[in-house]
Amino acid sequence: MKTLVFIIDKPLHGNIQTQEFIDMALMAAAFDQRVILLFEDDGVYALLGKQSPDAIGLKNSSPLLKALSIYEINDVWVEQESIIERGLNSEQFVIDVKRCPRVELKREMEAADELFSF
Amino acid sequence: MKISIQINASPYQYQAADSAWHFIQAAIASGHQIYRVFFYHDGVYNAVHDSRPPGDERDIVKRWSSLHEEQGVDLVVCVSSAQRRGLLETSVARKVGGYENALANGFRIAGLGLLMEAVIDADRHICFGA
Amino acid sequence: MLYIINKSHADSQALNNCLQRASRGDGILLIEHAVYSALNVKQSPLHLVLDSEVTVYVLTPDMQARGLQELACFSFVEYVDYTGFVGLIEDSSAVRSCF
Repeated sequence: MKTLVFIIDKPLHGNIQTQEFIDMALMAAAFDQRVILLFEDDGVYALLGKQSPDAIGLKNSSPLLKALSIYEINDVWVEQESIIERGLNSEQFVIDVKRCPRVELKREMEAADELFSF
Repeated sequence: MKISIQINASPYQYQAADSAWHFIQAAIASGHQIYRVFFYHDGVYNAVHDSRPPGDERDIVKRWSSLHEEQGVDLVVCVSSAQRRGLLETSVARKVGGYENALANGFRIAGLGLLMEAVIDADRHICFGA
Repeated sequence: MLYIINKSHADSQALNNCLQRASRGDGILLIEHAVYSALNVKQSPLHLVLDSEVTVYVLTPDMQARGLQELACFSFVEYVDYTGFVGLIEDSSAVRSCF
């Protein structure tokens, strides 16, 4: 089993690449790999609740985020510095996430087998 | 070392396909095995059969086809990305009345499972993107 | 860790975000348009690297393609070709491509 970290550092909407990126993470979990989904930089905005992408005719990914545990993705982390820099707090998020400081995330990434970004 | 490659960007619009191809050439020359090249997101456009660049430009699609024919490299196009972008496998195109010759020689269409297999089996997985 | 950056600081925050995270022993490889960031100009965030122990590599074919080979890069930049790129991959078990 490999540990694969999927890093979301860009906002979610307006770009099919995000949906397809999460599909990769789901497939990795289906292949019994350990999947860590990490939100950092502007990617943390993807965690905000009260999103209405139907306002521009797009699918809402919040339900998918809420269903991650069903797909056996239980390691959903967010970089602490990214939240603080953007003046956000965990109560604004649609799911529970583990807040990790940058330096700890770096160690985890170095220990992982592969890192994915988009 | 077994290296798998992922290409996420369309050819010509971005340099990703070129960077990947040159990297692959150097990796093979260094004695490594290219386990698979997986085309995802807009990268599937690297497999368009009817790409016809001007004669004085590199032919990116044909270059990939040659990589498969001459070096046996496995070129896989993601089925969901491809379908979303109108590249259908022949049998599917036949059923739905689509264009049956969408895929260039040397490429095959398959699911994300083959990407995962490559990620799991290879020693390194390198992504080239936009 | 080896970070691979393909956009210049003028196009994207990728290099800046990487510099906030890179630490001793890490490498940053500049390819494609990111090679512009290796040029020793005050706009490039690479001046932050001066006192760090991060190694910055630049892909020479991408420099040559853009006619940059005669221009001054930061003195600490190391030059690699595609064979060198492969070598960096061989030596790095953690590789992060930043787009």
